[in-house]
Amino acid sequence: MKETIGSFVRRYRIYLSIVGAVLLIVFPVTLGTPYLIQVMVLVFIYIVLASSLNLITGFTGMFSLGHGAFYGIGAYTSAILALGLGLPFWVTMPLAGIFAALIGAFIGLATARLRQTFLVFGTLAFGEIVRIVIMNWPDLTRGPFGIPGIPAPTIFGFSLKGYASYYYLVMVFMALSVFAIYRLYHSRVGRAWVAIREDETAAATMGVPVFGYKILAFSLGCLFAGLAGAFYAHFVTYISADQFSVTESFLILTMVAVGGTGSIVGPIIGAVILIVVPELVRFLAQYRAVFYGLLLIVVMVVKPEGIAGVKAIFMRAPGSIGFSHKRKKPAALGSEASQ
Amino acid sequence: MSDGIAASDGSRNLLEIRKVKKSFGGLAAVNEVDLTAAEGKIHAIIGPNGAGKTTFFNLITAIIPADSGTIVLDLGDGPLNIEHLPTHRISELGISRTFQNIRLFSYMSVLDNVMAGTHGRYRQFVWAAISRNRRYRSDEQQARDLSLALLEKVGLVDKKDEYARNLPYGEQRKLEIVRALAGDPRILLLDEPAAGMNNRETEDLDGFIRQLSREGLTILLIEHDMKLVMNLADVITVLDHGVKIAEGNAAQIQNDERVVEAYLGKRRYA
Repeated sequence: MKETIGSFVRRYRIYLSIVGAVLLIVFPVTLGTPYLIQVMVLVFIYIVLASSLNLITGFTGMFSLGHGAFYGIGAYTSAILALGLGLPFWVTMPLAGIFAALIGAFIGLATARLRQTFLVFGTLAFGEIVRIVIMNWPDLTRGPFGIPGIPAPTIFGFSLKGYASYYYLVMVFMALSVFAIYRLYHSRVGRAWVAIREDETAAATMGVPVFGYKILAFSLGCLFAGLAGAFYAHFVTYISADQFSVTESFLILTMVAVGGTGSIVGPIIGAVILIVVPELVRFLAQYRAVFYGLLLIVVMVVKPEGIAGVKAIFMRAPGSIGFSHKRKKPAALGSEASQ
Repeated sequence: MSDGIAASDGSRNLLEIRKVKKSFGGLAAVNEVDLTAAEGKIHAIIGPNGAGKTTFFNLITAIIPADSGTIVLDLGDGPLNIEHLPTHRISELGISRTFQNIRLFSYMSVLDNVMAGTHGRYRQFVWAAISRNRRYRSDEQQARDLSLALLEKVGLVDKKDEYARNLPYGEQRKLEIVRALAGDPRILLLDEPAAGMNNRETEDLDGFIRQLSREGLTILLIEHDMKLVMNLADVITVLDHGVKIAEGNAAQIQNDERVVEAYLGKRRYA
């Protein structure tokens, strides 16, 4: 079953993507109620967030529980620049991305030497720092009151205020981001990242400056998160610190883990599932976190690499029980038994 | 320091290692070892388990920093001290290696493993990768062609799309050598390439190493298979307890008393 779906998708991928693109384009003018369009905008933003975290975690193999913070840095940067200095969205949005990337590079410098669990805690702590700084710097961020009245972007004098126009704007942003990440993945840079994920020492002996490429992955991932934050801020027009808490980082990481780590479509699937399913069952809204948690547990046990993933980010201990755990060959001869 | 020291038979010295030392705690794993690798030669390093052979390779490739000593690489444009350079720079300068316990990129395709090995030969970066400009496309095509040609050479081209982890053991060993070759090295360090191979595979390996040597590659070889070593090596260096105890050709090594002692123990009633 899995094989047939996979091969079907591969064989007709050109037609399928054309059909998908057409459906996405006509969606707002056909069955798009403002509510559905709003959900789709969020799906697009989370696709970018999940894909960019996948670049850090799925490709390069570095955990990050601080992605929500970079998303927040982008949102706050763009909002503050737009309201404080009156700059247009087309200036504040790239600046938000660049600022998030710079902070990302800085955090990368501090944490890229850490491994696995330590990196998780390092980035988790950073996310918490960002939230606390936002809460306690009222002169800049209005602290716990949040920032209201963020203006909608304008293009050639037209305000992109309606949901439909913003939908197209974010769709283009999402498509370009995924496209860029796809091309990076299938390039010399992407191969270096995956090589680092697989074996840092071997990657270095192939001429890959490991530390530099880790920082690069971290800051590029944060660049996209910062851009996504800017698009989000100018869409919802009101932001506050609690929208970018550790819960947000967990949500994005769950999207990557559920959809599939290390592939291009995985994070897209994850973002769609984790945004759309809770909307379908809105009357169960207070159980949302339970749903996320259960979904993560089920995927980790049944398919550790995620629905469409390449390699699991959490490795099961060898010899432990599992439903999809097949050993291909004796460990003594396998390359995974190295070191 | 090593300007133009010619080896005895006239070939040039590519790599000169002087008194490298590495201690772990109180134990000197590699203790002031000298080694000179002449261009185009096959240089074997043998010794009992724990003699410091792999550590020695790790020092050359800067995976572990040496405590002291110098490593000088002379590719023809003057000697260059490399003992303080990072691993990736040493790789770019032309020293590639394989590992005793195979270290392939398991969840990468066979072809991508080899293409990752070409990393140091190209320069395109983020923007080139996203825009796929003309330069990028031609470099990428070149890397691909070159990798496929290497895979062809060892008969792995049919498996180019498989994950490296799914290859049988012998083919993983071959792939690792090919990945090291993809960087176009001048010096290749092979760490027990014949480990776990059967006789036939070892013979294939023998032929392959010879071919690489004929093509001008300088090879440093750690190996426990004495038949392979004695057949292949132009020079053999013997390490024991981190110290170089002998150096010479196959005949000299086989008759060296200290070598026999290191492997078999001291003769009691000599």
